[in-house]
Amino acid sequence: MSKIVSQYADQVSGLVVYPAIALVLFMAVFAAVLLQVRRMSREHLREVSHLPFDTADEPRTPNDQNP
Amino acid sequence: MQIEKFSYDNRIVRDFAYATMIWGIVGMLVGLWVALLMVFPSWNLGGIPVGKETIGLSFGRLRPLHTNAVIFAFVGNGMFMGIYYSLQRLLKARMASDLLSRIHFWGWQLIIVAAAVTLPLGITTGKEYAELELPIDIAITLVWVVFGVNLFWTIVNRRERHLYVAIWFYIATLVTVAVLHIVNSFGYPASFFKSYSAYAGVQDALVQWWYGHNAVAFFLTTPYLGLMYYFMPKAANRPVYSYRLSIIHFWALIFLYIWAGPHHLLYTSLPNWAQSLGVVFSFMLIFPSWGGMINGLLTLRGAWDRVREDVILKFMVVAVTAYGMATFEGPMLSLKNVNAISHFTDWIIAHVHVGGLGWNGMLTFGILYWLFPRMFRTELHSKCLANMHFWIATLGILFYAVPMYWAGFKQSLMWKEFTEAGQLKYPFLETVTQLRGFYAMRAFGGTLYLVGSILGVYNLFRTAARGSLLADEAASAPALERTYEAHRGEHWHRRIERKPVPFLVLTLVVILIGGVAEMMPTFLIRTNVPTISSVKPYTPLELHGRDIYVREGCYTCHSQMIRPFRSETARYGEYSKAGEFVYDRPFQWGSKRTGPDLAREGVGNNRKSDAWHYNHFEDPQALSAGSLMPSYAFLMDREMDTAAVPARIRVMRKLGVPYPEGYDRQANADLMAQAGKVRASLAADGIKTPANREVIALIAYMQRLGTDIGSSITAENR
Repeated sequence: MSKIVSQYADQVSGLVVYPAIALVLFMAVFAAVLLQVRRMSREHLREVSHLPFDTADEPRTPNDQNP
Repeated sequence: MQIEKFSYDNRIVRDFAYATMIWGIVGMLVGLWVALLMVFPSWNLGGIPVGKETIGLSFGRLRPLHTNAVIFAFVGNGMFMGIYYSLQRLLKARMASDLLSRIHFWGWQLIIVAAAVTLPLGITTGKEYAELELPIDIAITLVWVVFGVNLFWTIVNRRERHLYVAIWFYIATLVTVAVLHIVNSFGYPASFFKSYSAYAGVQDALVQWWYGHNAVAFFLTTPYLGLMYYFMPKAANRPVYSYRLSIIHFWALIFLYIWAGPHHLLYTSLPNWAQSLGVVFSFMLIFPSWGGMINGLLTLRGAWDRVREDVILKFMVVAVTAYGMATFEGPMLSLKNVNAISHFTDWIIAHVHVGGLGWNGMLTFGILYWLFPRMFRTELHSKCLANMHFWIATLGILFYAVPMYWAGFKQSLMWKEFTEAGQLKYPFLETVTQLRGFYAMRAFGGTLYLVGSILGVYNLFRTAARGSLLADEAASAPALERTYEAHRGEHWHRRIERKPVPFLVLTLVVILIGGVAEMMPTFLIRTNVPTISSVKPYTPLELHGRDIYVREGCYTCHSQMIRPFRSETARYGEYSKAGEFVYDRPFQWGSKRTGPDLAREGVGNNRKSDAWHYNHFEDPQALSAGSLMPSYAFLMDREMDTAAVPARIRVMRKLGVPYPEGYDRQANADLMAQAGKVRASLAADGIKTPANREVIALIAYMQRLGTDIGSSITAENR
């Protein structure tokens, strides 16, 4: 595994700054989103995840059940 | 709270549903036909003259028709069908404008018809999945704007404040496809239906595969993920497994996807740093992709018993599983050591068909089976037939993919095998003739999938016939209050989920980061494309021949990119350099080698006589027994379009090609002088042909290939 990593690291030497910046950017965005989703309330998540079912008027087939 | 009564527009959903079914069958039929051409090359019908034009019915012209039909007609219409249905319900609002919906529908169908007419006529840009010429590109842009206006106008009119996750994927699709299409389509017209790419060589390759890969990402994946997040919970009757995961899935996916394009160009002349970026981000893509897949499959928690009984869930489970397989394989294929084996082989064909047939195809039919009984207020015509469709289609995918994987491995290993004496073991032709059995099995798999789809379409049309369309579906919902009091301690994501315009802007920023970071250095830093002083512009005859090469879709089978492997330099000659392609608009590196690489076709002992090329174009099998190449005998009858040459030279000058000023007036004289030499060379070998035939130009282009940087002795032809 380390051989594979070093093989790719070698190929970006001299230009290592590009993937490094990109990786940092991605990790920052990823961490921010992760933090936010952890802070979301269960009530809100339940509410939004049920949006596709919030359709009282929708025609149903005989096998449909409410979620 | 005031309850408002309104209705959903099901007519537009039905229209797109019919369109996806009809174009799906057409696209698959063309796909099956081109698959059969690989087994029976004599079935290539060459060119049928229609006035001054020729309708091409050989692989090179029909393969783009297949890919465009299944991507933009089958999946495109399927996407719009699902979006128009789910968007209205998720927003509790009818589409803002029925007129815009109709313009969108008919505009899109006209574009498809225009593609179906122009591609067999050889009107093409020569850039994969972006073959349509400039006037059609402009039409696509306008229709896309209509779709975008209608979508956003509906969001503005909504009665549900929160934008459900499916809608984020629709917004990302809308904005990213627009950016990709516009940037990649920049070209300079030489006539109404002939343009040259605004980018050349390496830069054109980078832009094209930034587009090409993200066409997969944002046309075949993100809208279908949106559909998965709506229709899978509906079909399973339970909400999505983890809404938290869907948020991470969305942002991580759109951020990472846009960087991945260079993995299509590994070991090519693209700067190494850009290749490495493509590798790193493609590998990371596995995490959001599998997050999405797991979220989809776990939505069925507690409902797996129903999968055995419910054919819709069966289709969806196979679709999401295929998505998982394809998105595991994609990052693996992006690793340079794996890519060295897989690139240019049928492995890639297998990979894309697991995605296309499995993910897009099965999800489209799953949604259709779910929608039709509801829209037409009746039971499905036959559950038995739907089950038959499912099993035949699933077997079809397996029969398609497994032989293609096998063929890919086999061909790649044969390309790379040396004898103990250090010679290439297999001539290229043998690496093709040994694959015909696999191609036959692939055609069988494709036939199964097509038969399944025909059964499905029949079943759905019978369902529609036995019911009646609920064209305007009544609904009611409280009006959205104008003022909104945010929750205390509300997090930023919750805030942005109810603000569509900032959401769109944020999405745009996220997808632009990768594109800009990869493209700007390639365009701005001159050392990324080192110039080679001996590389000269094409002569007018060679340029004309190149245009014919592009028109006939030769790039669908031949690459022009020698990678720095011993097995390639021994077979084809010196590896390709970035500076060799500075006058190539469009680049023609190709993505598949059904025929050999042609980058150094005119050099050293790769070079054949003019007469060899003439005879080979007329009857390839006479010179290369077992070759899959179609006959291009019609090029011997077609006259060169010399009237078009001055305009093309002028455009090239505007794009920076250093032809002398006023050369457009001199070009045709030079063209005919060079054509005369080719004619004389052919005459010396006993071939009598006028100098003004297209085959003369194509021969001149073949003989030019690779000559800029000198001769090259290769092992294969020694």
